[in-house]
Amino acid sequence: MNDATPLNAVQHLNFETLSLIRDSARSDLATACCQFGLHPDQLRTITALSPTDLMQIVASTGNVLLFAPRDDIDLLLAAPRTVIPILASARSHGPARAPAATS
Amino acid sequence: MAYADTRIRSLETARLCATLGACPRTIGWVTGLPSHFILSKVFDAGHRAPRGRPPYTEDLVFKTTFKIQAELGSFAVKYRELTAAGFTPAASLVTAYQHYLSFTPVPSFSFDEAFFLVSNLDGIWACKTPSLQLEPCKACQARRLVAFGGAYTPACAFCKEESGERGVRKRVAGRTPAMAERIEVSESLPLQIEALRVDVELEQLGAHRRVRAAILSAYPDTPHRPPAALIRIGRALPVQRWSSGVRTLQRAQFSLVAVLFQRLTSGGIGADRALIATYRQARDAFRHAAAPSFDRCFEVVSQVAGRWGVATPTLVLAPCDRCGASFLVGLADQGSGGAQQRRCPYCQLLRHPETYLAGKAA
Repeated sequence: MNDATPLNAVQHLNFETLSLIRDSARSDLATACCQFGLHPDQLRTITALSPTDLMQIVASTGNVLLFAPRDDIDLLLAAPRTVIPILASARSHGPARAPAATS
Repeated sequence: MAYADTRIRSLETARLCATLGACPRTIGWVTGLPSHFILSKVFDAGHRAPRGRPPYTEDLVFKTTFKIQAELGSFAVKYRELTAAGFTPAASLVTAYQHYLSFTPVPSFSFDEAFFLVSNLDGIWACKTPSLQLEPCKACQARRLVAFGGAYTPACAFCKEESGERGVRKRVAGRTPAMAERIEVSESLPLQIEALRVDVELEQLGAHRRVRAAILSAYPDTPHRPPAALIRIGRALPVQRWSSGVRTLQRAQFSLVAVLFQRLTSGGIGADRALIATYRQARDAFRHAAAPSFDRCFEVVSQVAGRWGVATPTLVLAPCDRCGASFLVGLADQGSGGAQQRRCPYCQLLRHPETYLAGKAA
């Protein structure tokens, strides 16, 4: 990536998210696990990233979101607002998938 | 709380001083910790303290080569900048010496000597009155060390550094990290610091002292013993009739705590840190309802994980087919089978959120 080229919107989001996760995990690993829903081993990998690694990852990932929406995003969006944080914390989630077809 | 913070800061400073090669007496001056504590906790049988008298000498600055005088001067300037910026003398001393080590391959003076220089500069710790001060050189404008009050003004070490060496001192007194490669301290000291930090956080979360003692009993060198039976504060939770005796909102809160705790501990995070993070997360998630007490959550987690005095778990996590989350079920309750599935607290929250979560809604 050319240093003079500004990051596009997706790269900017990837950079912000990675930086936030890295800083939070370095401060308190357990809290970061709860907040971001990542496994401790994944967080340990992110905390070990140097600023150069971070920028290289963001640049090489290109126009793809690193932290894609969770698989139960449709369920959470349909839930009452006050219940969203509870369900989001209680449900274990995997990679995003298409919502089930409704009859 | 202030006492605990001071204690944590003292132990952390003691650890840093020891890794920089400080002798016990220097650590005692800087931190205020008693000598028997330093000899038994900061150092141990595997990591012995430096022996002999500390290398504090009055002629440290002026009977040395210009090169060493220049290095002492640059260290003192960094120390003065840090104290002027509001850092404590102890933190400034450690940081200035670490900075000095970062740019010199072979240190010319040890941490003990740096400590004595600072004592003379500020009239603290080992010296009652200042005997040194920093003064700019009229020729090069670099700030150099001179006698306090201008009684004796030697040639500027920064101007003369390149013009050959003078003086008698050419060796370092005391240990330096570069010479010893890596100075280790007692392995239990970082754990003690961590235990103090955990204790402070538990107190902030409102944990009862018996609960704190039970959690801290996992650390070595702690006065607390592991509990022999379940620790509970107040009336016991009705585990035997979990689904009917505990309110829906509380079952959801306890279930969330249990799920998160299990997730974190299975990822290799310690039980104490996992419980603290779990409680905070659950409290935030249920911000529209009254938060359960930390002691109650501790009681539930003990019975789910079989920890802290509980031999066999009495509560288990069961998945809900409808909402996909896991919720707590009493082992004595499981006879009702399908009825349990219908009592998933999250599903009830989804159906009637206004009943349970509207009380404190913003």
